[in-house]
Amino acid sequence: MRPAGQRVRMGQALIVLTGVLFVALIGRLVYIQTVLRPELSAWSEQYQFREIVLPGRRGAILDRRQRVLAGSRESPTVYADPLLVGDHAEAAEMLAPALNLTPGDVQKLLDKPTSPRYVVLKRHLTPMEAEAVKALGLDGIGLQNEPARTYPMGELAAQVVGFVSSDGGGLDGLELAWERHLRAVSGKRIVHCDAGRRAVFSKPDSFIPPKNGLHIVLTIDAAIQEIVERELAKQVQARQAESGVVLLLNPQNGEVLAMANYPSFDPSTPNLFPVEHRRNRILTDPAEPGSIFKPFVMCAALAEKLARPEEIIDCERGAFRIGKRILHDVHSYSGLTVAQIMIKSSNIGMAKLGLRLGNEKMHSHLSDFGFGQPTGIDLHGENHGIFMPLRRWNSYTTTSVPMGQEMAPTPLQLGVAFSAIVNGGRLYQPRVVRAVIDKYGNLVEDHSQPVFRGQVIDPEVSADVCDMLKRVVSSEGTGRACIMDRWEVLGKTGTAQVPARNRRGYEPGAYLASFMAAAPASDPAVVAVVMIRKPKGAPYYGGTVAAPVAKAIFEQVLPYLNVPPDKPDAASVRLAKGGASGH
Amino acid sequence: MTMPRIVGVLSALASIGIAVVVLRADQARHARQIQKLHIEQQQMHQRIWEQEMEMARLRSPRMIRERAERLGLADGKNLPNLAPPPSVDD
Repeated sequence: MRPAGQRVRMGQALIVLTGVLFVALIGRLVYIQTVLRPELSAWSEQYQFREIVLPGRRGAILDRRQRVLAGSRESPTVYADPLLVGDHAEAAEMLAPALNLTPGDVQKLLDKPTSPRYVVLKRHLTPMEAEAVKALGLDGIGLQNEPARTYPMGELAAQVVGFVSSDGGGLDGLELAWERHLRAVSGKRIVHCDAGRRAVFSKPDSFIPPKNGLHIVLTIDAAIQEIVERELAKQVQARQAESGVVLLLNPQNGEVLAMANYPSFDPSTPNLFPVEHRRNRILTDPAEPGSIFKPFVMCAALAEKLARPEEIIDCERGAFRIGKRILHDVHSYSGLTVAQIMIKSSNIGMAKLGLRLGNEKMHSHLSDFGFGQPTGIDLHGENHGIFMPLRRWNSYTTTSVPMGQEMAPTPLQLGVAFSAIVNGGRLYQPRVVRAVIDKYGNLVEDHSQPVFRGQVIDPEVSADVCDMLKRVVSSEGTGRACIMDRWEVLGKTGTAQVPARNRRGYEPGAYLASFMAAAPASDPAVVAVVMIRKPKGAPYYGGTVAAPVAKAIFEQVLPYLNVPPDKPDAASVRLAKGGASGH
Repeated sequence: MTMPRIVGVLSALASIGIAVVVLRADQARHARQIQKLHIEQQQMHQRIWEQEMEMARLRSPRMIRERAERLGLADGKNLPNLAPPPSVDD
């Protein structure tokens, strides 16, 4: 047995040792709780918490009757937690065939993830791909749904609606122009996870709700758009033409009712189509208009009182020399009234009106119609058209512009200016968007009011030119292919040569057949601009290629819009005659 | 402190402990239930979106025309009669 003093010393030593250990332990705890705390908390949270992204829904694009042209649905995305995936190479080998990717691509994503515990392997899986991934049952591989853009009406109005990128941002058309309104903002929720990374608790105050995008309502009517696209496609195919466009406007307020381009594309898979198919040529492609431009110069001549409709002008029997240049008419005429110049589409007659006007007045009036300036439509990518400044106009221009040469407006500029001729001289800004609404249908922004840009001609001048244009669409005019039984139509045909690429002059045998019309003539409800580029074979005139398209469209669109006929129809006339003879 | 008091305090502490565990378990069960409802809600949203898009596809004028033609109800020229009624502000 040890002496009592030794036992006391050992006891003391033990107490001291224990004290030192306690102090060390407390010191370590303090160190962990203070210095290491942020690092350890972050490490711990990485395993305990999970952020769940709550994607918002992008706004829809609706037609004027609220039919969905572009909407959103959910589609599966496959993601991986690289730390939980055991053997990356083996997992890649198994996943690649299910995802239609190469094993190398999958392994690269697993080896070099964008964030340590989350990497997207593939978005927008087909149902079959999603099933195949699910069937593999691999650890660390999961499926989640994300919103994907969908176009339930397929190619309908594709160039107007546009398309989005793989991450859902607008890239073209309305999707791009109205991105600010359509875009959704994702929300999030942070959850406590169990050992299997399954959500158990929501972290208090961590919920941020997603913000859905706003819907935009268009002036375009899907039913009218479908009629227009069908008739355009039919004619372009029948005439083996290169392409075609049709624009339908309400001339009384500038609303675009339809905007069709052919060939078109599927906005769900834009990358599979050439850029030319995706372009809205109505806004972007200026073209020498040819004779459909004559009504604008006629307006200028009448407004300046330099001509009267019944005045006779010598049309030089089909050939007119001005300086070194000789102008020709398709048919030779000696004397034509000013109205007949329009009806017969005489180049010589129009050139003489151009000479009376002079460059300054002509340029000023055409500028008033909006040529050379953007129309201000609520879409991206509008071209200003080609309309040279007055200082670059010369003596050739004086006689070229009245025939629709040496300048190139876009079909939209033509449609907007023609609307001003037929509505009594009021120029309106064209519009595609009518309103912005929220998901409950409440109005957020109202764009339904017409945007008036000015009175460009007097109503009397408008009436005189409309009278001429009515006779163009009669048995004596070039637009007779658009004569209808129940409605009177006014319009102007045009056949322009297509400029050659990479050299001066025109491409031989290449024409732009066009027709610009309004119906009913008594109070126009619809203006149509039809342009068919490079129809094959003869006849290639606007009156034979483009006018029938306008007629087919009017025949379906006017009853759809409940526009009353302004001409006694054939049946009524027959009935009236029958009744009269019976008495 | 007498033995009965000690036993009483210990019993109270044990009861509190058990109550905490029961409440915690209940909370976990409800939290799990909420999570399930969240998932269900998301699935319902997804179904609504799918149905809306399917309805939009069926309202497409081309679809209506094709179905009408298949049923022999109309040719192309009768499309206006197949269109939905105009909206109030039309």
